[in-house]
Amino acid sequence: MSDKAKVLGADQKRKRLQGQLIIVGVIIVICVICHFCTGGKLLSPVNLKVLSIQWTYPLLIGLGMMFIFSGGMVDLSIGAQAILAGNIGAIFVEDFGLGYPGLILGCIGGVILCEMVSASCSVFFGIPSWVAGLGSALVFEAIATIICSARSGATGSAVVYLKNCRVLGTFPWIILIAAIVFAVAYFLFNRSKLGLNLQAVGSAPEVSEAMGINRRKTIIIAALVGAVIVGIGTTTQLSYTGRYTAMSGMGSLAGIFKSLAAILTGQSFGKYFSNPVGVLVGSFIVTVLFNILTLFGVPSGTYQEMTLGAVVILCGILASWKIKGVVK
Amino acid sequence: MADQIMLKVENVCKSFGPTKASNNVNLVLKKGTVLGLAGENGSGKSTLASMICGMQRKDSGKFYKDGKEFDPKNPGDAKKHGVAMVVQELGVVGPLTGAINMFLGEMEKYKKGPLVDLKAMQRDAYKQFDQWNLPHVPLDIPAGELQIEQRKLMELARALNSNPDFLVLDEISQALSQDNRDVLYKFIKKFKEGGRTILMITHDLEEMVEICDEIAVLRDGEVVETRASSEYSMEELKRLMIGREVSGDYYRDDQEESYQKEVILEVKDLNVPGKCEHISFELHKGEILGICGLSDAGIHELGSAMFGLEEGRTGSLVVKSSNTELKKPGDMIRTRGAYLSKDRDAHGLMLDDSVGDNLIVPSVRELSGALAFLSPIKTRRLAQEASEAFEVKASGLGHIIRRLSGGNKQKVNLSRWLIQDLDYIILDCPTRGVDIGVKAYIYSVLKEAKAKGLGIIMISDELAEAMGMSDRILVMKEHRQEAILSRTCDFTEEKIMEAML
Repeated sequence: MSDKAKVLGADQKRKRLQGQLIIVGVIIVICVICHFCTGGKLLSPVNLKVLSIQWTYPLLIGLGMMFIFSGGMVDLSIGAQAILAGNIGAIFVEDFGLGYPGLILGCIGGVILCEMVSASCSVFFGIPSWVAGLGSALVFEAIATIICSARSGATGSAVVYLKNCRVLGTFPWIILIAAIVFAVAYFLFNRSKLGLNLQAVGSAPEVSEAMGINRRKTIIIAALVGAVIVGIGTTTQLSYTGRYTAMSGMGSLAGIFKSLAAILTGQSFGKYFSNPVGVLVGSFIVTVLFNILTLFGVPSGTYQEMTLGAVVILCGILASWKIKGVVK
Repeated sequence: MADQIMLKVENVCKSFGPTKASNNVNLVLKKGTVLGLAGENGSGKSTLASMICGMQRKDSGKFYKDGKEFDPKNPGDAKKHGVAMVVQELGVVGPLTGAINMFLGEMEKYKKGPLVDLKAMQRDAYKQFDQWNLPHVPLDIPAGELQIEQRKLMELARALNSNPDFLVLDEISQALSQDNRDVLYKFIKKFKEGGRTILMITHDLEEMVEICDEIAVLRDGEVVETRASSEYSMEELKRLMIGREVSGDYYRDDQEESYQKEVILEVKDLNVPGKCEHISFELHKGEILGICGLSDAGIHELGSAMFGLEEGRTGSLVVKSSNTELKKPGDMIRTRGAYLSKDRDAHGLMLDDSVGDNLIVPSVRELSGALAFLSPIKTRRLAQEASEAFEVKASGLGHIIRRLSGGNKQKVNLSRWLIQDLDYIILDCPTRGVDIGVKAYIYSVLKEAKAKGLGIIMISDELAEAMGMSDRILVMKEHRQEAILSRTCDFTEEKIMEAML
């Protein structure tokens, strides 16, 4: 490499590293300040354990969504997929006695099946992905509600409770699973042929096709990988909470709100972090924020979510500070 | 070897709706030669090239490569047959590094288990640069952060990855500065010495005559003439392209630095570390101030810094008539100024909007009536006038910009500003990708605007253009101002090159 090219490359990397250190530093400082403001609760060992467990769900769902969204699809049916697959997994365990294989098969297999239906509608039939996603969400929500209602006749409850096979939602297994999934997702996205092709397809579809990349195949395989990750997230969350409540009328969107916020926050730091690390940082910010608000006694629901929205916007503003674009 | 045929084009036709982009095109390209395709913007040069490279399918006719019928279904298929192309408009995936961009679609050989060996990829990428003596560009940062020139060089190296024996270069030299053009010419010589063939598209006719062995002239999708480049005179080539006589003296014919005393814009110690440092000059009413330099000298960054796009800018830019300091892009627009970036696709045009919408955008404020409503009659009239004045070749004002040829895009980009009543304008490579006819027209418009008192800063990669049009030339070297030369006494190529080097 020529000296000039080396200097330019090193300069860019230095700026990136500076940005990364500043972001991580600011997060740590805020956490320390909040720790004292909450009377030493935030960073207490007990709360840190709770935090780390709560961090896993937005992280895993966010990573799955990252693979699905990066190819250009906006699939909002993921919350509904998780609800349907989670209930199938719980039924496999509780009603059919299939144990862990049933739990994993129901959750991961269910999400894969649902995501393939939703993605195929968009990729092969040319339906805009957000339309296909919303349509699919209504269908998946309805199926989950029908299954749970039908089961309530026999059990007396419209909610399928997972009483057995809950180890995957306990500490430290849930953290270990999330860490492994993050590592795999990181390398798949940044260092594998699929991940690099996916990024090319998402940001420059015409160029990528001209370079011989099969756009449809890449999107579908990425959606499959994303579905597996969402499925793992569904499994751990079901094991942690013990239930997925079926809902209708697009209520499932609320289930992916934190993950969406994590992706948006992560994307706003896109100049400094690769997408998987962005999701990791974003999901941490979201989880910590909710935790802090709860410790401060802010009512859950409207006020907490209003604050989250404001923080997402603030992160976007701060991350794009001093970035200049051309006025067209 | 030069008698052996590499590629034969036989009765090839291609239409886009009612427009015949290629009409019974017949060409023969021999091994170890360079064939130039000359023609106006929209004459069908890029369409023909993209069909050969599999980016578009032909409607009828045949290609033969090495004596066998060749019908590429996609660029990958063309690559398998030894055909590669550097496209006219920039084709990189911005968020991925240059090294990854170079091997997109060819990652199989870098797979190490489930992962890709990025270091090996970068090493091989630089080997490609070295093999063809191309200057290195940083390949470990996102390709979107590279300059146009660096991206073009990366695209050239990328095209050479597949070891092609047939290469299409579609207007590549116009993105390069003089020193890198010399690199390109040496590359072309080396490439064809190995019995390989180049199909070259360029609007620089001097360059075409110099570099190409044969030239085919296309007009309205048809080949009107093909013969050895030495058999063309420049005037004849222009006439064949345009279909009528074109005056040869399209640059200024006076040799005097001439402008009014009134200063329009005063730049004092403009500084963006590492990009353009300690620049000071004054732009006078009716002056064309050329800005020249070698690649990486910082001439393009100076343009964007003046417009207010570069982070960390210090120093001052003051519009003297209103004593307004320019700090952000809006300030320039408000003080009747304008800036045209070299990268028209990324920083100029709304690619997915119509010709009409793009033409009226800078004039929306003037066209707005009561309650800020736009009059459809006024807007249409303005767009129509601009389109006709610059002879934009499109099916109408509703034509989507992305589908226009490169030169026609530039016509839209320029015309919408030049029809405005401006005091000053910064033009970064205004004739990049435009044909000889439009070039002549642009120069005549600039001369007319100068006569009316418009102050023009013209950043140019072409020395001839800067010398032909400017009153003074500010020469930059290694991001700094090296000299300001006067048309009256300093305009020789030797003097300017001496300052550049």
